Amino acid sequence: MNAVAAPPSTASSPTRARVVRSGASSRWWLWLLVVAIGVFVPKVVTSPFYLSLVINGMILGVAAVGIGFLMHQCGLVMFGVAAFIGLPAYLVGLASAQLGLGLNMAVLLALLASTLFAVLVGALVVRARPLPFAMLTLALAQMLKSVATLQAMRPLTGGDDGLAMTFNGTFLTLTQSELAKPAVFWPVAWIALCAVLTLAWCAGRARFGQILRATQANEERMRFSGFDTYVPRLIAFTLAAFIVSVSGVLIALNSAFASAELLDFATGGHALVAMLVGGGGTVGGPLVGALLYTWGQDAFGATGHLELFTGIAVVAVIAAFPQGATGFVLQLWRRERKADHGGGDAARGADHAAR
Amino acid sequence: MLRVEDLSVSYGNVHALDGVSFEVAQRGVLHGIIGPNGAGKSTLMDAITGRRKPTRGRVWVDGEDITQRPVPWRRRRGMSRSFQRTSIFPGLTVREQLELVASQLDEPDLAQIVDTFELRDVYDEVADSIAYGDQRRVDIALAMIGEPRLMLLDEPAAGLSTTETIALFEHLTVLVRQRGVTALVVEHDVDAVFRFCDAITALDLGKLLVTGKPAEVRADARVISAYLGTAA
Amino acid sequence: MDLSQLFNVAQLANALALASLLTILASGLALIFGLRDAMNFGHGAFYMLGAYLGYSVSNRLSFWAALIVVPLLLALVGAVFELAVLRPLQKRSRMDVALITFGLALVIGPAIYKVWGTAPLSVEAPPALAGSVQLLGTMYPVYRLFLIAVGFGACVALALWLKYTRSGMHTRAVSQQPHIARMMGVNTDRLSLLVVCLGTGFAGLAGVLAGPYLSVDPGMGASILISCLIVVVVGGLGSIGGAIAAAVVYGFIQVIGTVLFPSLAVLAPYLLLFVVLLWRPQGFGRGRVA
Repeated sequence: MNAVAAPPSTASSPTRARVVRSGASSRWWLWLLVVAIGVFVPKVVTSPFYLSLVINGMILGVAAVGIGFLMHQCGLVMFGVAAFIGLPAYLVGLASAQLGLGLNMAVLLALLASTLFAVLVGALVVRARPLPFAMLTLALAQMLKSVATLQAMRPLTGGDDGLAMTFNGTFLTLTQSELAKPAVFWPVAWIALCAVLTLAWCAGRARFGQILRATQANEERMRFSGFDTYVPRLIAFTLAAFIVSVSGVLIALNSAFASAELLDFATGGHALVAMLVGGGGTVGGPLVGALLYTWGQDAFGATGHLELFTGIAVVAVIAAFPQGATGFVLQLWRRERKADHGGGDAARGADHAAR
Repeated sequence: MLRVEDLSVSYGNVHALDGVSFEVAQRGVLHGIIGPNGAGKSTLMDAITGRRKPTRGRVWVDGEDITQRPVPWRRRRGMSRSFQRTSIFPGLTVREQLELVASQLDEPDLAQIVDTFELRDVYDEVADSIAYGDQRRVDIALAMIGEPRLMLLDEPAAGLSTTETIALFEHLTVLVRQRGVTALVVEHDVDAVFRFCDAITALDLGKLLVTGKPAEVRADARVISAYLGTAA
Repeated sequence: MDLSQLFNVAQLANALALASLLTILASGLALIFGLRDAMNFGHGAFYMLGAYLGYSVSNRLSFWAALIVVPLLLALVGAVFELAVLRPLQKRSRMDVALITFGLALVIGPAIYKVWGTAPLSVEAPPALAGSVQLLGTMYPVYRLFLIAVGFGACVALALWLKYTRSGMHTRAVSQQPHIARMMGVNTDRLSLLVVCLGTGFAGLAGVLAGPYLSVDPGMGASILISCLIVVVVGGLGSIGGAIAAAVVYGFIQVIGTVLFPSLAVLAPYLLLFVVLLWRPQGFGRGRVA
């Protein structure tokens, strides 16, 4: 029997470990550079139309990233994502009108309340298997829609007409009219998007993400290995709902309007399709999908065949490209690398790290 | 250190396990569980480990009644198990899954476990791409992590050749003596059980036949008629 | 709050009328789930399609014609659904199929708006079923009694089919033990075609029946789908008996809610769902088609 074996970590190449570590910190600088540069896009692209289009894509992207995170880490698909888009949007308006809060506080309240609501709902819903989970979140969205359109709630929510908002004060020194302008709103949307991308990426890379993915692979064995599987899933749900809530807040800030349509199936459908088309396997995949989707809406909307294309997109993704566009491209790229390097270990190792 | 009292698991009129009581007093022993098909061996494992809720009866570990305790709690407090049908993490590498569990259960010497179970060669392979025998060893290695006091192994040698089975039992014996672990092993290979185990419990049709040293069990008339056929 | 309001015959009948509609829909959903292990998120859209087609056929021919033609049309849609979607995807995970059916719902909805517009439409009950009758002391709309009768009749017919016919027995077998049933020679593909067409036909029937009872509007698909999902979850995924019982409970909860808290009545089913989730998360039925 081996008495003292070398510890496992030195079995892998020490130079590779060092390279990864210094690579990691330089990657962070690169990312910060991208974020900083992105803020100035409106100086270069001046057309309000294109800016607006991409902003809509980014807002949809935020929601898609949220549900993509939940799907990739936990295997749960939040069909009722619209619940966490519409709820915080309404809350921003309500906090401004009913509570008289300044815009900064209203946004904070909306995010906190929506996240707290997610914890409460999640506690019930996260125990369910993936299919009942999807059904329950859909019921949740519809329930919120029913609440928003109740006659009794009309004075608060505007009922079927929706809630036109008048903000008190500024959001990070931007006034309501400024927030409506694409060129001025861009940095807000951009930074919010980068923040949630970073959040989702870090959470996925952390031990938390490992636990979630291992639970997805074999929940029973996780429990028999001493892991509680319920709380991590609840946290993941809450985190995903928080990210989706950011998109709802962005909608409220940009349009100063919330309607029951935000809580509708179709709204949720946009985010879901965007996530699927882009691919939930990577953090950025859903964003790519959202940008494609928004562009598609603009390009095909006029033809009146938008729904048909959406349907075809969903069918194509489920049937042939389950990893979405980004997943498919990544697969091709990895196959190229494997062919170049003539074989297995390097690429397989990289595959794993990239997860 | 393990005491099972009147343990029963029933589904309506079917009694998969019926009033089983026995005790394993010592540490660092290998305790075999044998019986024909349908005897309730796996059900006994499931009832003791909390995978199935017993309809009657209680389980004590080191004097503590653990019958109502949830599964993750039991594992953290030192009761582990392996599975008859290999239950590992298919998409993770062997390294990833062993290290993940080792970090959760504060395993002081993972390298020793890896080497004992000869997993060094496949350490960085993805678990669903390695050989069946290797996967079985990963399944058992996962149960070995965190210095458990009590290990329950459900047919650890399932699908292995006679040579591999002997080798496995030799590994187990060493580990059990070295780490002072009490191991309950459900096994069909009766020769291996009689050869390596310090004590044996025999079941049939959900009921306990006898518990005792290998020689006693081998000579027991009920065991012979139920399981061994002619006198061994 | 007047207790006599709660327990009077009219309220009872209202509950049963709503339950009738849900029973027809939910049992169709449960049948498809039992056979193909697929939760059809497009079921509400099929129902809506049935309602809009019912409107058109009613206007062109008659309500009675619609009652026959539309379920057949929807059964045809069901055949396409089974052959083009469910059969090719039968080896995929439940979530994959769920996502595709959800995608279907996203497509069918707007397609309907394009043809019929987004304004609510009204369908008149045929003269034979218009008006009210004396029912144990109060005047009650004849149409709703018709609705209850059809719903009840459909349930009985379904139960008889499941219990006494060969295909019904095969359906129960496949739903409970798909692999064993297949090994015993049940042609699951042919059976699935039959059952899916039955399920979508039922959705069409419910749609036509709903016309004179509720209004035909673009939101009806979404709201009925949720009601169906609640019924199916409360009744236990896959259990037909459970779905029927849950539909009745749903009807009563809805009506009791309308009496007690008229402005909040629409939330009553969610309260039901919430309570069931807390108390018995797997639902009440015995699971699978039973």
